[in-house]
Amino acid sequence: MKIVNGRGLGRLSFHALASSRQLKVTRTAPLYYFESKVGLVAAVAQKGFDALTIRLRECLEKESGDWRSRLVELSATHARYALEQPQLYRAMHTAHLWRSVMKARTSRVLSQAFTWIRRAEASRDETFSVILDGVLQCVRSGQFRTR
Amino acid sequence: MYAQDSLEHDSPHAIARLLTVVVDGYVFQVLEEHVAADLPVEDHVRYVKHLVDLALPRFGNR
Repeated sequence: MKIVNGRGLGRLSFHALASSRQLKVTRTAPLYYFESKVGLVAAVAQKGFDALTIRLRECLEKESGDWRSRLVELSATHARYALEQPQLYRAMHTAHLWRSVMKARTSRVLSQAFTWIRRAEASRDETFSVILDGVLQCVRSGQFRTR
Repeated sequence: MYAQDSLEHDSPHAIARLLTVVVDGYVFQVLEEHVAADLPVEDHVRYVKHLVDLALPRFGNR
């Protein structure tokens, strides 16, 4: 995530990881674990959504105003996260990952890439569920009704 | 002051989608289309808050 945030998605590679002094595993471990760059980028996307989910949960726990201000603050937290880390936020959008999958050369790499992308999408869905939870909290509080 | 603080015609899921659409649409314009890209983050955040505030009652009162 630090490489993506600092230098952009285009600079993320197994070579860059292997050269990173912050890496606490062997130089070949990332390639063994992720198998392809798609897997690596999808793992970054997953971590990005997980971190956003935590921020949104913290916002919901903190915010105690009326329903409109709660939802406005929730959206502000979301926007701030994206704009403070534009490179990471770009990486979190999986459309380019699906395009990359089409270039996979072997069924094994393809299968592994699918697995990583599904994980990223699960984290993205979890982020959405926190936003939905914020709306539901407002509904449960009786401040507004929905269909 | 809005005429009514009611979103009874819209489901929670749709409202949550509305929030993400506003944020992601705005972020896309800033990051990919470079609209007002030189403004500080907090200025953008203030504008997103304004947009969400505008969208919510309109969405709820249609």
